Parts: sequence; C-alpha cells; structure tokens
Amino acid sequence: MKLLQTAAFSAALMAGSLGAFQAAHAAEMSIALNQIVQGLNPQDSNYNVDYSVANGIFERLIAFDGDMKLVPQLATSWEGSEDAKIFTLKLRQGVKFQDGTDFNAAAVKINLDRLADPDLNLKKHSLFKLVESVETPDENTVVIKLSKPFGAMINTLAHPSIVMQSPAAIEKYGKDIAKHPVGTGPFKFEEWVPGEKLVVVKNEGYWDPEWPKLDKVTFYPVPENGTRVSMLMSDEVQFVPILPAELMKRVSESDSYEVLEKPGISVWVMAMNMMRKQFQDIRVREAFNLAIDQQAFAQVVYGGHAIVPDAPLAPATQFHATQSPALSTDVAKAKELMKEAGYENGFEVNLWARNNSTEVRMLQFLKQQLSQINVNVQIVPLEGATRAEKLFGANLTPETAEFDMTIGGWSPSTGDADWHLRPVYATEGFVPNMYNLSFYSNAVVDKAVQDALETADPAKRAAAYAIAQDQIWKDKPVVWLAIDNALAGRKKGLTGAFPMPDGTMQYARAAYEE
Amino acid sequence: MVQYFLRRLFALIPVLFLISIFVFLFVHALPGDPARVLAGDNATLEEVEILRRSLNLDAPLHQQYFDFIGNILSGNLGVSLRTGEPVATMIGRAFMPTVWLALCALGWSVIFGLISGVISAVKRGSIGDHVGMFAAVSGISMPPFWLGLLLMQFFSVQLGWFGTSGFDSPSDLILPSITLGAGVAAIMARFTRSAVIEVIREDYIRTARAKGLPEKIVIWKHALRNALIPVVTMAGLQFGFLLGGSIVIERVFRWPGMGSLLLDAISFRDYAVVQAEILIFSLEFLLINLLVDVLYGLINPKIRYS
Repeated sequence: MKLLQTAAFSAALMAGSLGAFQAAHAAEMSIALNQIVQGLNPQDSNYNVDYSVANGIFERLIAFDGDMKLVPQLATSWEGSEDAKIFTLKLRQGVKFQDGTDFNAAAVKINLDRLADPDLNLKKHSLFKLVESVETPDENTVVIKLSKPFGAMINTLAHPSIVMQSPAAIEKYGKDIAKHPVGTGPFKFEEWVPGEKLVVVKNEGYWDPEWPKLDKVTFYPVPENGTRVSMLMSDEVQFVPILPAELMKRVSESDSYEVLEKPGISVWVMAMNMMRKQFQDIRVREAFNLAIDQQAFAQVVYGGHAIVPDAPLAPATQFHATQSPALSTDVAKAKELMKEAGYENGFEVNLWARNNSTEVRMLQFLKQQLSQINVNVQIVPLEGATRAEKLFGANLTPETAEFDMTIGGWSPSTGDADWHLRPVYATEGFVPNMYNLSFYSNAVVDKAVQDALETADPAKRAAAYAIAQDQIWKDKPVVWLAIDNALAGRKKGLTGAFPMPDGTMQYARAAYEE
Repeated sequence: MVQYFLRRLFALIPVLFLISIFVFLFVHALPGDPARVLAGDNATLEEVEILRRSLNLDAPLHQQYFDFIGNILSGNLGVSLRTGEPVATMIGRAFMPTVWLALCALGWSVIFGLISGVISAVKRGSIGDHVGMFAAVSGISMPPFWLGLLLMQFFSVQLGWFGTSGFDSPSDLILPSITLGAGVAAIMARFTRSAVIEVIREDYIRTARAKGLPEKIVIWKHALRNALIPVVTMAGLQFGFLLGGSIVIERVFRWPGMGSLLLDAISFRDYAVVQAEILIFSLEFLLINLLVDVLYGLINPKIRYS
C-alpha cells in the first residue's frame, strides 16, 4: 500500500512538473541553424543564416511570402514610374522601432542613403548603386530616384538584406550596429554568444497586436547535420530549417516531428566553358543535355526531393516562362549529334565542383552519364575557399580559365528574373565579375535583359524575359540539372516557422497550436 | 632545478619566434582568398575588392607579417577578419571549454588505460588480455564522430539522460569526454601493457619476487613505476593533442571550444584567428614537453637536471 502511495505521489509530481514544463515550453522555441551567425547587420552581410535570424528582429519595406510573392511589410503600397527611374512607397503608420524611435519616411531615408553610400563599404551597397536620391515629401511617403532605369527595383527592396534599422541605434552604435540590432520586428535582440547561441525575446510594442505569440526564440549554430537532427528528436530544438535529404527519414518516421518540403529557387547547372572549341558547337552542348538523365539525377543526388528545370529560371522566380521542348534523355540521339560534330570517340574534359558530399555525388553521377557518349570526365572536387579563388580570382580571364565544366547553383535572392539571368547568362556576368561560368555571350539575351530593366511595367518586363529565356533554352550554354527542394524538420503543432525557397527561413509568426 | 626550469623557459622564445614565421607563411600559402570567401558566394567582383581593401589584405605580405608580429609583441592577437571581434576575446571564450574537455577525457582514459594495461600485461595470453586488447584496437579504430553520434542517439535521444550537445552544465562533459577519451584510453592501455611486459622481465623484478614481496607490490610499485616513463611521455603528447581541441568531436557535440573555432576560421580563411590558435597550440606543446621532462625526475630519481 505504502509503495502504491509513493508511486501515485511521484506520478502526480511528474505530471505536475511535466505540465509546468509544457507551459513554459509553449511560449519558447529553439532553432538549430546550419552555420554560425556572422553578424546582425543584414545590410552588411551576404549570408542566408544572418538574414534568417534577422527576419524576426527586423522588417523590410516589402517582403516575400512563403512562395516568393511580394507582400507589404513596412510599406503598404508602391509603384514605379513608366521609365523605371522613380519608385514611390507609402509607409505603414503607427510603427515604432524597438528602442522607441518612430518609424517614418525620415528613418527610411537614413537607411537607404546609407546603403547607397559607397564610402560605408556595406556589402549590399551593390544593390543600391543606382540610387541617386531618396526624397520624403511627407511623413509616410518615400520617393526613390535612380540614375538609370532599373525595373527590378521593387524586388531589390524585398531582398532579405534591405531591412530598416533604427536611426537612433545607427547613431549610437556606429560600426558596432552588427552586434546591437534594433529593428521594428516582433522579436528584439537579447543576447549573442558568437559561435554558441543567440537569443531574441518578445517585442511588447510590436505594431501588430496579434503578434508575436512566443516569448523567446533561441538559435544554436549546429553545422553537423546528424547533431541537428538529434537535437530535434530530443526536443532541444523545435525547428531545423535546413535538413539534409539523407536524414529526412529519421524525422518523417517519428510521430512528434514532421518534414516540411517546399520547391526552392536555386537552379543547379553544369556550365560548359564556351571558350573551348568543343563547346562552341551547339551539337555538343545539345548532346550533353540529352545524355544526362535529370530524373535519375534528382533521385541519386537528392533522393527525389528535387524537380527537373523547365526553363532557365525556377518556377517560383518572378517572370519564369516554361519552355518547350522540355528536357529529355536520348542517348542514341546524343551519340548521333556527337558523331555529326566529329566527336564520335568523345574527348576529355574536366569538371569542377565543391568537395561536399552532395556535389561529389553530382560529379560521380555526371561522369558516369557522360561516359555513355564516350566523353571522359576528369572530376575535380575543390575545397570551398580554393574553388572560390580559382573560379572568381580577380585576374581570371575567359582565355586563361582552367575549367572546362563547372557545377554551379544560383539562387536569385531578389526572387526576380533579373538577378538570375543577368549574373548567370548575360555577357556582363562573366566570371569573375558574377556567375556566368560558361562565358556565354548572346546579343539577344543581353538586349532582352537590358530592355527588361528599362521599364517598371510587369507585362513589358515579362515579355523581355520570355525572349531571353527562349534564347538561352535554345543555346544550352549549360546542362540544366535540378531545382532542389528546401527541406526542414519541425515539431508537430508548431506553425509559422518554415523554410523559404531562397534558402532563408521565417519565424516571426511562429506559434504553438492550442 | 629552478634554474633548469627557467633556462628552458627562456629557450622557448626563439622557438616561438620561428614558429610565428612558419605559421604566418603556412596560413598565407593556403589556397583560397579570404576576401572572396567572406564576401559570400553571390558577391560580385566589385564587392570582393571593396572588402579586400577594408580588411587591409591588399598590403604587401611582409607588411602584413610585421603588423601581425607587432601586434603580438604588444600583447594583442589582432581582430577576426570575419566578425571584427578581438581574437583574444574569441580564444578566451573557447579556451576553458576545451581545457575541461581535455582534462576529463585524459583523466578517465589514463586511469582506465593504466589499469587495464597492467592487468593485460600480468595476465598475458588470458581471455581478459585478449578481450582488453580487442577493446583497445576497437577504441583506436572507431571513428570518433560515429561513436559520438551513437552515444548521442542512445543516451540523449532515446534515454534522455543528457543533453545532446552544447556546454551548459557539467553533465554535458560526459558524452564528449567519453568519445574523446576512447582513443586515448586504447593507446594508453596498449602502451602500458608493452612497457610493463618489458619491465617484468628485468632482474630487479625477479629480485623483488625472490625476496618474498607480495605480487601486488611487485607489480604496482616496482614494475609500474619503472614502466611509467614511456607512458607519461605518451600521456603528455596526447594531452597536447587534446588541448588543441578535437575538431571532429567538438563539431559533433557542438562544443564551444578551440577545435570548433579553428575549423570555422580555416574554412573562412580567417587568418588572424588561425595564426593565433596555432601559436597557442605550439606554446601549449612546448610547455607540456617541459612539464613531462620535470615529471621524469619525479618518477625516476635517477634522472637529474643540470
């Protein structure tokens, strides 16, 4: 009897403490990031992990929803002039920064002027080079004037780095602002132990009284994939925004956790260096496209969690235009084309990629596929920093480039066609300037990409980008490989925390279901 | 003795100076451009060049070395290229977690290794010896990240006894120090076993037995003490390595130590952090060597310093 009582007592105790634990737990969330946070000034960062954390602390004028469609955030409406040189934004009223400073046109001007100032060396200055002046006709209106037409300006304003910082905090902290972020977001910065953890807490004065639902969010940098999953499975974190496909099963097989999957906007390609004689022949480029089975690629490399590209742009990117014919695999026809081009016995080429496990799998798969048309691929996996130097070294020229083929993935972080087609396929994008790894140069594409920037009219821009995509699809400067899905792991019952197609994540509207 | 110690300490200065040159050259000879890596993959060439100028990476190499050594002589380890944080602060934060982990790992593995090594040696050829040595070989061969993930899966995810990772309470030391010490314990066991086997054949052991000393005293006092010299050398070396922080284990267990810091710094080509860390590792090794030399004298009074 005594024993029974003790057992009942301890069960009650456990239930009690469990209840208390859940109550405390309900208002908190922890997130395991795949990289360490570099800094908390998104305007001065090129890293998705920084943007991800900043998404709760700061807000942008215009933002993306989960499908990369533009939605109002601190601006409630916007319009561009016909010549794409003047952009007018109406601001949300009654918003305050977390330090009590008013959010208004003057605050926006201070932020945009800083971005446009080349002397400040902000990393995202490049997005604002064309800004000539920022005017504030009244408290709630901002007019941005550009020196040259730039039709992609609205999407540029939605880039995850273009956040609004408190002018008072900029004044107070100067260059140290990256350690003292003050924005208008639903969470305010509390503590950062670099390399270890970062904590944000509820902003009581948030402009939308419905939000935030959580009191505290803690971020842990956990580069090791297996450890991130273990932390999720032991409830130490409730959200893992970047989940490698090979560990997905561990999460999906459990009752308490779920896998979120969303098509990305990163298009993976194998670029062919068109300075090489062989790749100047369209028949060879076409044969390479026909020899590679994209469906099998998605299976081998991503365990099926990827889609086959149907245009140079990903479907979620603005102004994507589906192309025909769709990609197909036909080894016999590929062999025939190689024969016509005089390469019946194939040739030797090198293929560069990073040395991480995903890209090494790509290398092996592509080598095998191309051996079917007698092409002998020498695969070259490179350590990240070494690759960056060899591909983007300042003195690289098209004539001296050592690579024949390169694997590259490009994600247009403005969600707009311009920031994909221009860096990857326009002549001005030749490496090392941007990301044109094929040295592909076509006057029709260059003109269409430029035309699309001369207007802010979406219909005209769409028409120009359709021309560019059509030409690129015909010319095949790359072998299109895959668009991989963004995968994340999340505790069941948690909503509002999700991965974005551009590789960042959102948690500002996170909540536990009642 | 004190004089010997001081003389050895002063002799470290030119060695450290030479090391600083090697470290600097080695770090700068690594392929990869820090400005390029720090700017991020999507950066344009223009952004990279702006960053290079602002980080002073366009200065001539000898100038950069003099800045580096000048900083160190004035007691300043420089600032991180990546975050702008003082390197001394970063290392100050990472140092103690690694020291704790190294001490715990070394502590259990030396005790365990010594005992099992001696038992194996004494019962040579027995089943216990074979089992012990089998375990030791497994300990050496088991990839530490694998062992770490297995322990984490079993004790943290399924049983829920420990946190999976991080360093928030002393109990968080248990799993990583088991993982880190496994290899060391195995090495210590094998080393002790062969050293004791060698010593057991010596005349003075036979003498000790002949004069009727109990076997326990023969083994644990006479044999082990004489077998300790190579074992202490090995333990010292291992401690040096452990203090460097195990990159793999710190990464698996999200340990905020020197290994994690070094790995991040190397992948970002954060020259200032890499240089400072390697200099500190070298200094640690030199000091441990010195300490081991002093220990020799304590273990074997026949060794005299002059």
